[in-house]
Amino acid sequence: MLHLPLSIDTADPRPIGRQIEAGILQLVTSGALGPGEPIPSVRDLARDLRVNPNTVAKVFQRLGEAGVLEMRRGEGTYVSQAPPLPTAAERQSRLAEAAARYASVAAGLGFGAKPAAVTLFEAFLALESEERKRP
Amino acid sequence: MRSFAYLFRREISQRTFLFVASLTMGLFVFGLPYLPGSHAAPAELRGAGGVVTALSWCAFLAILLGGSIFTRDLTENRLAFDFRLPVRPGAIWASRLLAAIVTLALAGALLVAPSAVAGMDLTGAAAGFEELLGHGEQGAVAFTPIAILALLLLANPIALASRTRSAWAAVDMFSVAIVCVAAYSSWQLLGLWEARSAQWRTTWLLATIALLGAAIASMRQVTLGRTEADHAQKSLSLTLFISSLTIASAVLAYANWYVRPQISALVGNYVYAASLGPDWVSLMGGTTRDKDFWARFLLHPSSGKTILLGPSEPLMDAGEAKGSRDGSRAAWLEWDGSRIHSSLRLYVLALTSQQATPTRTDITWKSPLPAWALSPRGDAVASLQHSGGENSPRRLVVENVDSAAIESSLLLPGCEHDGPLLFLNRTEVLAACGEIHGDLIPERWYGVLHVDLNSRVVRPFESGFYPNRLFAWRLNRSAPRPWDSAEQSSAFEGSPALDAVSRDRNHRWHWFDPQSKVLKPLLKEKQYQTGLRSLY
Amino acid sequence: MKILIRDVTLRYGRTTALDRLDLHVPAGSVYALLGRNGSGKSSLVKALLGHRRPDGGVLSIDGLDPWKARHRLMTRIAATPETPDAPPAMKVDAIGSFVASFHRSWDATGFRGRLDRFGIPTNRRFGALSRGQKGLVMLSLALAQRPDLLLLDDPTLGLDPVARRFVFDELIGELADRGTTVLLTTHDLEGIERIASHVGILSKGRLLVEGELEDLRSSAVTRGAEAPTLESLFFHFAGTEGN
Repeated sequence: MLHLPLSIDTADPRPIGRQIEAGILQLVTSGALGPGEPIPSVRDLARDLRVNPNTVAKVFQRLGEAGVLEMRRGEGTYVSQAPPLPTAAERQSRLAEAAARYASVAAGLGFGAKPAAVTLFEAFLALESEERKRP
Repeated sequence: MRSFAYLFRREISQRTFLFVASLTMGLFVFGLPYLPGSHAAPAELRGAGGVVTALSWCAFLAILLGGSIFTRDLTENRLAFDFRLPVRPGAIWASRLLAAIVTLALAGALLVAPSAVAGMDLTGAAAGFEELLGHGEQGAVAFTPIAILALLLLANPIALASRTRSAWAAVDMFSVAIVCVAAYSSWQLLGLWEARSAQWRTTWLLATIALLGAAIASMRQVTLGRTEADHAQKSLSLTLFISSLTIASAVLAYANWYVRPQISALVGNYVYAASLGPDWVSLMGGTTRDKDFWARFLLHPSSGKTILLGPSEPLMDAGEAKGSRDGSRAAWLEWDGSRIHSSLRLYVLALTSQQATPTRTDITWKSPLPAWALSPRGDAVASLQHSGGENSPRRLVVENVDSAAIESSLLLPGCEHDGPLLFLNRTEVLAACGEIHGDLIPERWYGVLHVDLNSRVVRPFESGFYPNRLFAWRLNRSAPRPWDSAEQSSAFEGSPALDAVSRDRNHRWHWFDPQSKVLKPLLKEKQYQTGLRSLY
Repeated sequence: MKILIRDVTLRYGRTTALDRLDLHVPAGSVYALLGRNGSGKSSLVKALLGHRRPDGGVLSIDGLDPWKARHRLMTRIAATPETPDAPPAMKVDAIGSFVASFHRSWDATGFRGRLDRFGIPTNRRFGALSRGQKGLVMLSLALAQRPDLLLLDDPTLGLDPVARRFVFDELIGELADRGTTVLLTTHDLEGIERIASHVGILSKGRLLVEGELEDLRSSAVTRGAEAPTLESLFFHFAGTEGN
């Protein structure tokens, strides 16, 4: 069974469907899911994430309409051959959104801007070394 | 129907254990004769043992099943499982009830099966039933399944009330009380009229409706209460209450209808009729209700007006109404219904007016009353009463009908056995002392006493005759006579005649001559039919 | 199948379990009915299953009155009770074939498969199973009917984490395969959070709030709720009720 490294956080104010959508988009834009790669079925992904299959189906529908995913009748769901990548402005706004979330979590845990920036930088380094280890 | 079958099959298949247990007990009964120390004949031992064990086992199972098929599953929340199936509530109820009945029948059959194969002698068991119920084999055969069914159906409301412990139990008790009161009062009423057949019929009617009511109540418990104990209890109790009202009104209505027959209910062959005066006839006899139910009527043939008289005491043969010789008044006795120290009350009716209604007098006599008579004008009654024990001399009491005042009271020496009583006129009474049982020739003295009420002189006749019947009839020939039997038994008239039987059993009519105050032989029996009228 | 409840009142003696309740379960939704103990959830389920006639109001499932048409509706509705209530003396497979005889679309393979997955011995008497196993048998019986409407009365009550996980997995599978409408009452807010599409919060027989889960969450955020989980929503709406 295909497995997507997605996670759902019920404490996240965003609806579950939005979280899944953002997660898949993230995987596609980062290249973790290459063009033409297969995506798990609605049923499998719903089970995997333990969410209502209707929610997953709606996400797939939205991503299909946006040209990110491609439903092939009788075969399954695939990443499009040429998924539309987000514009620079979109990318910038999403980054800002994520940064705001990170900042609020850090502030909630009692960290200032400086240690938070340091931790963020460390996370970047860790991510890069992970990437390098991958075959 | 299909779902009923599935539910039924499940109920039965869940009771395999009971059937195995029944068969095991059956084998035990079969083995009874082989136990050390048993001396009875094997067949008889198996018969008695089988019947006793089967009955107690079935009774036990009936109570167990009755308390569980609806109520235990309801209160233990197991009925909801069936109610989630796509079946009608009626199927759930019917399958459970029918399965319980089949279980009982099967358990009983399995218990007696091994002994039945070997041969059972049921005479001992039947004798036991005879002792217990007053009915023999047939009675037992009908009674036992009904009793077991009753246990099954009655265990349900009791189980439900004890499990829900709701206030509806008070309604249940009230329902039971209603049925008991209705049963008791209808028994009393029918007992007053000595209607034994009707009493038993009422009991069966009551039992049948009660069983039906309990069955319907359990159905409504299931179909309306479904999985909710409080609603089930409410439906059950309400239905039981309505059933008990139905039972009570049905039984009371039946009893009241029964004791108020129309005159047309009299069965011709058994009717005793007598004319009371020129216009009225007294009729008494068996009815179409039952052979053992007798009714008394006064009939005014020309207008068709009838009056049903109250119950007469069963022990008293003087149940017929008497008419005064002048035809102005009729009198009769009604029984108060008590079995011990019962009393008889005198009622009168003025025969001169069609509109007259029966009047209750203040005269009451203790029962048993040996004899009584109405004076020629109907203004006084004479009665023979016990002065002490059974064989003490009788006392003659004459009372005024309207004031109930005692006019005379005197002992009749030597009059230790009852006989008829007759007013010659307002101041003279004839009392026949003696009784006849069939053709037995009595050994004691029997005779006729002449009593002068003014001088209080009692004169015995050494007649050597003992009376059989004593009649004083008057009939107006011009009045319409629609009743054949009335004509037959009242077709003589004139001055009082004594119907007596001679010692040599030769029937002879005697008449009392008021002038010489002696009994004179009247006619020989064979002359009776033809010669009576020509004499006068 | 859709459920429509209008002005429904249901009383137990002097206690009012449902107080002029209005509720609407759209076809194809997963409706989570939340509420504290005694809020009237189980009474509502009883009324929907036709076990209890409401004292007032109108209750309809696909236009049919469950009190009158219960036997017809139950060919399309499957329900699990709060407390497992199958005949305790019957063996699990016997219960299965008994229930199967009433349902034309019975999924025998699915039934056996689920029992197998749950590791439930089919030749054991129902009464001898553990609480969790009993609950899973009831769920398997319900799902094997291939219902159009699933009524689950607190399906995870008294289940261990493994059994609880089974319940949600089966539920998701059912939703994915057949798109069944589901109405469930639960206290398991965390488990239902990802599955429910609609939420209703019941308190003292009245609906405090009803709507799509996402809408409720976003409206709670705008009202300044800290973390808009189902749990926080529940506390937000029902938690302080009656205290």
